[in-house]
Amino acid sequence: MQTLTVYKKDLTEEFLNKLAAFLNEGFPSDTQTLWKLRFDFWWFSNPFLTDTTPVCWIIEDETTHKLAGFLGNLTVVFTYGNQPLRISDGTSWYVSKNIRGPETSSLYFTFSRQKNADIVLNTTPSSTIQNILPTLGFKKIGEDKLQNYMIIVNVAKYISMLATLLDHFSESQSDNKARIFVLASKIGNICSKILPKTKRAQIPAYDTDGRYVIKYCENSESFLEYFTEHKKGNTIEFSKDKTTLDWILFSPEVQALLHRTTAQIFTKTGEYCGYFIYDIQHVGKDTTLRIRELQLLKPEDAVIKLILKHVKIEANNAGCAAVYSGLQNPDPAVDKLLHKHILLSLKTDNRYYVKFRKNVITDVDPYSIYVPSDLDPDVGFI
Amino acid sequence: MTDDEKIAGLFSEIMEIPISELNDSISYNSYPTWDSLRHLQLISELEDEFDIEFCLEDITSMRTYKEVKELTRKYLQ
Repeated sequence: MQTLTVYKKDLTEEFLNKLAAFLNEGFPSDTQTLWKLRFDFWWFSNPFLTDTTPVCWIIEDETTHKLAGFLGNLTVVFTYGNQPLRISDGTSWYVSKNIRGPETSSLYFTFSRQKNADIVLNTTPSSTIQNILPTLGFKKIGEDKLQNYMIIVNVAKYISMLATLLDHFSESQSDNKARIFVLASKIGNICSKILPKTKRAQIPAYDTDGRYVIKYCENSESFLEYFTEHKKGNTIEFSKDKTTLDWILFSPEVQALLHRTTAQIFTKTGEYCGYFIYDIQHVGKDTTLRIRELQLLKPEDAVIKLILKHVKIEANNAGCAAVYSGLQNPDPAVDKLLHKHILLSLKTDNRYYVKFRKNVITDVDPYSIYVPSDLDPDVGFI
Repeated sequence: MTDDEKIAGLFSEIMEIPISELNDSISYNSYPTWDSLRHLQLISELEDEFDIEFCLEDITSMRTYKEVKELTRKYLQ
């Protein structure tokens, strides 16, 4: 007999160990240790959780208390004008194959009907779920396809990572699987142009002409000192308030999980030019460097080249297989420059859907919602 | 169109089972097209069609076509 349980903030060590083991069964390429780091980041360091916010929903056997299903709840804050909006983002929905059935639906309905959130956000690469979400009251936002540029840093590790991805996508994402096969064939053609680097290299501070400099940003204060809002009309955006930034960019938990780095670009004379944020993320036993945000006030060839040189060296020094750009709604000028300087790209189908709680916002066009950061349902990136 | 006919139409369309083949014994385990995602879609379409909201217990109790009809009718009374 399976029952549905909602867990709030009283997460126990015993439960988290059990949950990490269960999710490792569902997503074998992600270790139990990695899941526990995610729990720390999603829940324990999350400043927006309240005593009434569910952190996850589970299905468990009433008799044996064995877990059979999970859907995580990530609470984050977006802003609409000056109005903060509480967003609930579903993550890592997994139900044991042997009990998949109406219980699976109950997990989802509990998530999508929750009353605590102003907006329920859903991201999925599965075409089946993409077809269903509109019937559940969700509206699609953003582009259909996400352009991922990639630079291979270590060919052997990259091929190993592709095998992991194929395994990861084998259950539901035939489209992505096919794309990975196409990509693998492309790699064969360009391998001769790639030289795997083995030595640790010094990260360049300046571009080749000495006009721009990259500086690491260590805390939210120095980020906010220069950050400029880039809102266009009635947009809903990931909040850049201090509380959010302290958690999302600079908390010890995000460092432990993603080694997240925030860097700012200045001219030699100290004029602020923009920022970029990147993670070192696990894909099975391999890692990649993922650029999650990149904002330039005046996109220029020299700046992009400096950033790419920087991340390639960082990726090489960290033993990564590749550098990825996973930018949502990139500035077209930045996108053009990335396209110019990066040989490989892969379009992924990770679509974003939102559902507004009734009467929260009535005048917003879903297409104007801007999600600058990558929120991945399978691994709960924020 | 009666409520039963509307339920039959939705069920038939979502599960890809011709209306002429619908019978009370059709169950979750007996039809390959009735999987968890289509169950999700069925619940959602029924809620939209009749402007109702099923409770979780009823969502998980719908394991046969007969139960789908009975539980939906319960909300229409």
